[in-house]
Amino acid sequence: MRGLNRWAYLFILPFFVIFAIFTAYPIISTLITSFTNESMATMSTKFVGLSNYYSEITSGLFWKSFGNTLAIWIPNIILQMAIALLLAAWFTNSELKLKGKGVFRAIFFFPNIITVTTIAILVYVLFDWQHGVINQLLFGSGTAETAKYINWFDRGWRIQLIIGIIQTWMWFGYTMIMLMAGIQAMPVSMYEAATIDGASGARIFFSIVLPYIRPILVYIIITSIIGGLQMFDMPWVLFQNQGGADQGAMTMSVYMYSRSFTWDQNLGAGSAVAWIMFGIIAVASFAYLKVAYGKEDRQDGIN
Amino acid sequence: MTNKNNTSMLGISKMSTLNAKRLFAYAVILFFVLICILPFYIMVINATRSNNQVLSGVSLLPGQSTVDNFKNLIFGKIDPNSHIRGGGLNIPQGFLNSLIIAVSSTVLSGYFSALTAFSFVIYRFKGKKFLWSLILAVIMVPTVVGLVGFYQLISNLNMIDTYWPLILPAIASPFAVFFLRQYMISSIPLSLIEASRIDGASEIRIFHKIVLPLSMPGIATISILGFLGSWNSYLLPLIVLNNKQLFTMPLLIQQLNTTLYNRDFGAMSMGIAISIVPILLMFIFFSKFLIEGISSGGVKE
Amino acid sequence: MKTITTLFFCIGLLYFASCSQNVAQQKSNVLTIMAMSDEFKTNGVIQDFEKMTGAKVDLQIVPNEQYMNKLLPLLKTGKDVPDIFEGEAGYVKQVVNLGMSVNLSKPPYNADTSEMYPYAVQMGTDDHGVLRALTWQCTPGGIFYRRSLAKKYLGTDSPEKVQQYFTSWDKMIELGKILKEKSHGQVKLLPGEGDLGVIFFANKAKPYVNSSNDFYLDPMISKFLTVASEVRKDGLDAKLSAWSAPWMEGLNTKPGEAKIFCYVLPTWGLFFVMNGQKNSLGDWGLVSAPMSYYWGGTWLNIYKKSPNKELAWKFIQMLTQNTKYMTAYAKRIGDFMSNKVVVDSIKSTMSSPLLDGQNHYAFFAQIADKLNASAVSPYDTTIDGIVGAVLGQYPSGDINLQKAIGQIKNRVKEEFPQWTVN
Repeated sequence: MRGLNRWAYLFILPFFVIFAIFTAYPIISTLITSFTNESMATMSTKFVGLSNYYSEITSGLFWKSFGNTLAIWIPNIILQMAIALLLAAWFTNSELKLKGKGVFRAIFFFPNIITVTTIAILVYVLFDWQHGVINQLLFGSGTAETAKYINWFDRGWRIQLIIGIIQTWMWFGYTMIMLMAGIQAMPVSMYEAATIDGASGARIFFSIVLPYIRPILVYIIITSIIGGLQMFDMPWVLFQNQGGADQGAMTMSVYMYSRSFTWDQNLGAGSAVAWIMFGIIAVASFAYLKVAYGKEDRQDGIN
Repeated sequence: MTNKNNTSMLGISKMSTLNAKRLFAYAVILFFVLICILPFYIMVINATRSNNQVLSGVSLLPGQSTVDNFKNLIFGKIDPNSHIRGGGLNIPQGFLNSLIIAVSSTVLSGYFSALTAFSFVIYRFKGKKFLWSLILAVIMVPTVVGLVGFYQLISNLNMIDTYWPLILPAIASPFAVFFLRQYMISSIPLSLIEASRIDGASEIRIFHKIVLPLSMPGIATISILGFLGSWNSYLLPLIVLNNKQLFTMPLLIQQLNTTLYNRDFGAMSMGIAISIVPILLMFIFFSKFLIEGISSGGVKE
Repeated sequence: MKTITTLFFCIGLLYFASCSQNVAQQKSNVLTIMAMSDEFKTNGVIQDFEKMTGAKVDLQIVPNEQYMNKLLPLLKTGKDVPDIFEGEAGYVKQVVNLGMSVNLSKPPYNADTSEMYPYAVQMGTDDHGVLRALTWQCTPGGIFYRRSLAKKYLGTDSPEKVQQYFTSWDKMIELGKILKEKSHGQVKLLPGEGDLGVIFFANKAKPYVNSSNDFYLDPMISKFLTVASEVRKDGLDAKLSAWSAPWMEGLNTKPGEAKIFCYVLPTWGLFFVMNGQKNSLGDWGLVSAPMSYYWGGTWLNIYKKSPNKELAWKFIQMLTQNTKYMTAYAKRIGDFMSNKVVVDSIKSTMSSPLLDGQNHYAFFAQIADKLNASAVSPYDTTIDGIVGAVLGQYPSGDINLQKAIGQIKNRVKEEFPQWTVN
């Protein structure tokens, strides 16, 4: 029996070999590069200590990209949570008894599986301000109407709002499914006790259902922090390395990629940005966990 | 509202508010259904209309330019003098490239994640706890942290413009291992494994004959997620692939926004439609699996 | 058993996926070219070369906007470097200054540049005066106007007469106002105000950055912002972004429905962009812009460690030295060649159906003589992009010049932190 346990090392070997090569090594290599001035444009590399970190932390554009990322992420997470909670509450409400749950779930989830680059091109075509569908639907297509058209991409905040809303559109179905699963797993007895007490539907939802599904809410928000603060595909496909109007679409990842691979092609500084981002994401996740669980029980984190 | 009415009215008014509520809920749901479907519908319709028609207004009915749009997208615009087409995007090739990468990495990820998860469920070995927390930790690490290093690694390994760096890492998919471990704990009876050991089955045979078939539903779920992840991946192929012939679908689709010849709304819509259709088909077949996978993941967290 | 079959299937796929890319780095009969477009294939150059030499060409296409960040790592690691790599006008200076391409004026190459337009040679020369890249083409630019609109609003469509409206920026803006007034705001002078940028970028007196990394913002940039702002403020452009679908459609509209008077495009605009637009065939005339300019162009380098230098040189030789081939190629495609003798020998015979028979060749030849590339820097693409992005900050055209200049400098500083920006 004990001898058999040795097989484990053989079985997990492929995983950890590949893990070491393609995950661990790159992370460490990025860390080392962040202390050098390595650049694709020059052939020599030397150690520069913390100067990349210093120049990034004091760079206006880096912090602007941080602000941009939040400006896209915060409205998105609020809107997405609100819509998903509302729909999940309705679909699981035993009084309303809504029909077609399965179909609606599938339809709401559909935008989530489409490639982000495809969605970005879709946005580009739909939001084209002179000939895009959005303006045509909002205002009509006569000469007097075209004068009212909104140039969606000429203000940074508009770009951010649009990208945020598209993110919501892509993710509310996913979030709704997770929430529904959580609510449905709730013991019926908890409902019944509340119903007997005569609590209203809304009241039950806020005082019993929400606390019950808190771990799921926390999980969704944490994964959203990790994913949302790394957003790259859509802003990059739409605006590349100048970030559109007011550099509004320059998220931290776009900044990091541009710093490393375009502009002055500075891999060292780009690596430093990556590690600063890592720090920010880690701090945000832990801070949120702290807020979500407070002091009551520390074991109750995710995983 | 209700407590102002007398008791005999209560039941009826409660019924009618419930009906009103239901109607309202359906209206809101319908709105979201439209929002989820309409953009794709308009794109598919626009794929059948000429650039000029698309520019001049919305239509819910198809046009006649499907073939032209398809040719302009795939082969580029035609030069009336030389009759040579140029600047097209080879979407069928991109489709094949994406398929090769996604299928290979899904198969690798499914097999090796199951093997790894199996080891963590069944065996007791030194360093197990440490390795497990390593896997959990890495799920939380953002991909951008290793991006520059990954790029340096593959250029040193001479792997630029090959599919290895996009396929091999699938062998180490921490999330899949995490998911399958949860799945196996609840679905694989240890007694069965003990019994086969007594029958003299080798460990790898136990894995292939008992564990793998029993975990198939879980593997299927994680494989669909893995397939989608690989199919939709953009940043890594962007770094790894140079040659346009090797481009995956997302890289080619991104070209719609930068290539000279494809600045044509009809052709662009065609590109979007073509890239959506296979996913739509897959979705119709697998959406149940997928949604159940997400649901079960949600409950188990 | 099933799993094993799947594994084999998967390994097979892996093999299939990788086998096609392992091109050995040794002398062979296959010439690898890393290009930014498929033009060598579509215009038949590769077919001609293969027929001429019996060699095979492996054409790898890397999109222009990613070209540098794909080429640099190859050069840095020295692995899988193509025999021939390119440089577009916006970054060719960076490519030649890497010192990774052979010196073409030395034996065995001994490239003859005596008959080439000087600016084309200048672009392929590095900071130490070494010739490292050659081009077959020259890319002087002009202004393509709608004959139908000119006839309707100016009473003439002859290039000589229309030219008078383009002798200075003031006259050009004046023309825009005439069009606006006579058409009741229907006809716009330009598709977008930003389209004018290329003219000013090509007329800078000094490069953006010098060898000691001092950034210099040429007065031409302020001039550009001023003219662009006037165009936008007076409502003289259609507010289209360059290369967008409606911008392209403006090139294709039928004569009676055209709403955009002119487009700013160079030689390749004619055979690369306008050629596919069949609705507007023959409705175009060509005049020169208020300042002569060039736009784009592709320079060819031979990798200095390539085992295939000889074959690579044959390719470049065919395109840039072999006057007989160049003449035939120019006649077939309509490309404007970098070699003056070739241009002079055919310029009287060339005309374009797109331009209703106007001789574009003789026209571009005049402009090519005036071009100068002394103000080109390695990072032109990026910095021109910054200027365009900052212009985009003022959609109404109300540009505060000082603020805009400040924004440009600020962005340059952010994107190139090691430069001195004052």
